[in-house]
Amino acid sequence: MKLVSLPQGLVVAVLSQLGPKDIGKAAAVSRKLEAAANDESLWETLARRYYGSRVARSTRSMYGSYKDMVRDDNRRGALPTLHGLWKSPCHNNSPTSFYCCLVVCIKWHRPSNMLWLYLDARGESDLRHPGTSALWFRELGTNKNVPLLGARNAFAGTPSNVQQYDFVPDPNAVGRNDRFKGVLQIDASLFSRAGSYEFCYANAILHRDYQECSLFTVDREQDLMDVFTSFSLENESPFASETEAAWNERWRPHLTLAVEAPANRLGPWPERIGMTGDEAASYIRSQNPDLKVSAIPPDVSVKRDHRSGRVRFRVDHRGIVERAPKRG
Amino acid sequence: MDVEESTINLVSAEGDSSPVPLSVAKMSELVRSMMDEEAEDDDVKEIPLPNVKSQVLHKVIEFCEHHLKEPMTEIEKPLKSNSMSDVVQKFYADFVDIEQVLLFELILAANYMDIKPLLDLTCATVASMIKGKTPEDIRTTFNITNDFSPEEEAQVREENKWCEEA
Repeated sequence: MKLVSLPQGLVVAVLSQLGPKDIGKAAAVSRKLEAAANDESLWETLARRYYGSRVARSTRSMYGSYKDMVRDDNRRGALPTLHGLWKSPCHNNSPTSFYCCLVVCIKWHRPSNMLWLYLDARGESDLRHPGTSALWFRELGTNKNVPLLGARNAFAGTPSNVQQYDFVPDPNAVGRNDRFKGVLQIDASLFSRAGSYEFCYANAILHRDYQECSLFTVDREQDLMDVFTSFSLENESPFASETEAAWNERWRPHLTLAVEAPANRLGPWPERIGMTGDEAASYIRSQNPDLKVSAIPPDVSVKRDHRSGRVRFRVDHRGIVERAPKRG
Repeated sequence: MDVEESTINLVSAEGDSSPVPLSVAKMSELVRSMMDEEAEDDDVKEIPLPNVKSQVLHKVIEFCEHHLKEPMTEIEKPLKSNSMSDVVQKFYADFVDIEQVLLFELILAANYMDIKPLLDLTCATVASMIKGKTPEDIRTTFNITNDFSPEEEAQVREENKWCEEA
């Protein structure tokens, strides 16, 4: 009787007593142990142990496997983000002039159960403070607005379930375009009902100089986690017809707020030219851990087949990336 | 003292019969469910365990008897130490200080008889022999042949590199 003659389920039971570090070591022992070390049920046990059953289950769809979840330390699940919302509650429906405010992205900080609204607002000369924003709730299928926060007197100085961070006029703002940017943190339990959640920058609900925007809709029998896990840019962006390049050109200069850029999962990655092969490879892996990434030195020949799950790119004799890495 | 703690005979693969108090035998979910099936029949006196050898069965009974007197502390995961005496009481640490063959047979028996704390203890013991070791050390400890080609092994190590930091 040997360790490797145990059924895989029992080898998994042994490995599940350990952490990822030792499981990784065990995987390199033999094929049998590798199979057990990659068993999905093993990583499900670990994920449940680390993040709790409910969180592990509800964030599973963000990952290819429970192993990926543990590898990511469930950061996506612990801090889910609606990327690139680029909503613009704006004056006169003119996003590029006069007042406008971008909700750059929304994060759900699960440990504190707060939704973080990253805002970047600018106006001509009398930009109002973001703390005068309002949030309200509209039941599905009705036009009835239920004020949640700041309906009349705005957030400033009022409720304790909102916190404001870093809202100071941007000292680098040029010309008359003064600018506020920062994070509004709103108690996530306010978003517990099914319906649509409307946000209006720097305005009470009764005086809408700015247009309100719908942050997201929670469907019937869904909860906030469903919103975060099912979000797709195509559904939500008012600029869905705009290409990413056009969007970048339009908005990037205005966005200096430090937020995570949406992961570039599919490439190409032209901005990696000039880096070392290792730097580029680890960057690409960080964007999409599912890809097999390798840098190919100039004197090595490779088979010319195509695989979408792979990135191979040439580096020159100094190890520097010459051309934009892409999949294939 | 119980007025009449009735006993039941657990019968090993070799056909040896061990009389065991009911409360001890019922630590095994397998035995419990077999008895429940025949709840009306008071004459269930024997449970055959054709997958369990006498030597192993005696260890299992020893574990169950002691567990009723001094329940095993829950083993913290991921395992904190290479030494079982750091994670469970002395009796249990001594209990699993045995040859590997017997240890693996106990795992099989605990799984078959469905005795959770015993399965936990024996699996943790094997895990404690893996913890902190390099793949080479693990092969030596368990006498495992490396059936990877050098390229495959390099690839597996590369794929699991992230585990180092996790």
